[in-house]
Amino acid sequence: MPDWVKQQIDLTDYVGYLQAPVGTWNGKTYRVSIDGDCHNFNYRSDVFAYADLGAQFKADGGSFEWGVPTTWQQVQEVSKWMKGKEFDGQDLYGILDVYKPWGGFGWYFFASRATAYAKHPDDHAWLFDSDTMKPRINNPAFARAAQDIIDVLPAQPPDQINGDGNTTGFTEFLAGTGSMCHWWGDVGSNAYTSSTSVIADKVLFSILPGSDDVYNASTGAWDTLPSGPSYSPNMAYLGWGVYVMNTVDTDPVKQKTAWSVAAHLGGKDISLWLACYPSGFQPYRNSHFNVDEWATLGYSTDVISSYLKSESDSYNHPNAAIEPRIPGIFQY
Amino acid sequence: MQKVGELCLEPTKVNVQPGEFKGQKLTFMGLNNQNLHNLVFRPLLAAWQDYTGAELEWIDLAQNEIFPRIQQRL
Repeated sequence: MPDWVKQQIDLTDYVGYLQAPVGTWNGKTYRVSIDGDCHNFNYRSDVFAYADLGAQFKADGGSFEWGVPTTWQQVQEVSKWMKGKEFDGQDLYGILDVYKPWGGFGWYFFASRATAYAKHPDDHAWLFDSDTMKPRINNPAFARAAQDIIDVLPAQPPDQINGDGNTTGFTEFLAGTGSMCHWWGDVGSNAYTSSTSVIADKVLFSILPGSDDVYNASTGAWDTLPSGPSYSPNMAYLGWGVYVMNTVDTDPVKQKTAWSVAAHLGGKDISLWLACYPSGFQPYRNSHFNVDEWATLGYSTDVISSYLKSESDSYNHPNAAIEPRIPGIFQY
Repeated sequence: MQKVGELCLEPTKVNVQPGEFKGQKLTFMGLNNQNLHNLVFRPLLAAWQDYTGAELEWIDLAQNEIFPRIQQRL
């Protein structure tokens, strides 16, 4: 990345987790970030505030106080409980899982189910042993996440096994099906701006659910943390970027042209528009987290505060599961 | 978004002269999911193309295609 591009796009405004070394190799910057990526947790605030459902859940032996689940164990429990129930005249469903590979992007939805189990706060690694590069994908943490997804399938909408990411986020959750959905931030920005959304003012957000215990790859044991449930937001995909191919390097004018395209799309002012409106891109700059600016666009202050908090709490989480964007990641 | 691209052109003008890239043609390969991504970039870059003189050719890929195509390109 030429220095004039760095100055034009103001790299210092990137959120912490997108700062270097992300987008660099051997000290050189190759990426213009245009997106921040994490999977947050989108949930139906009306469902989890409905006292009658809470009373029924308690009467049926529910193990936690009615409200948005904060661990995957609670998600599993309430999703199975919701099977056969109704809310507001419609079939009630809990978590919406992605079962199709979706060109490899289905991996992120599985990973989001697994990070709370697999990313130990005392271990930088979660995908593979950093000393040996041995993949951890077959360890008990990932196996438990896979089993969770299998076990809850009967409680999900019909034909969910053929559902990809577009199904859970757009066809189902935004359209009113399901009460919990882990996705990139698109769901939040589309809740108010998409013509197919029926959940505006009925959705809130959090970081991904945690787990009552977390797998310790060093000891082979499940640890219960003295601080309570373990959380590990999934920095799924690290966000889209614009990359200039080195095929332009032999022609200085073409090279400058290509970098100018990237710099225009990665500019600070344009980026706020991309974050606030349906674009496929999420907040990725510190300057994107001004609630008042979103409110001027018509977003509810309470809802957008919840949304931005879920994003920033994920990005800045001390135990975030960072994806290294290694070749072959989709094979996990 | 065309207007947004026009309003946000000032940083480019600091580094690029009008018509400086006339005759240059670039190919932009990217995502089209839910009619977003590349389809949003097009209007955002309309004013940039007019100002710089460059032309862009687009390769839009579905979510399940993009990663394999990028790997092939690399």
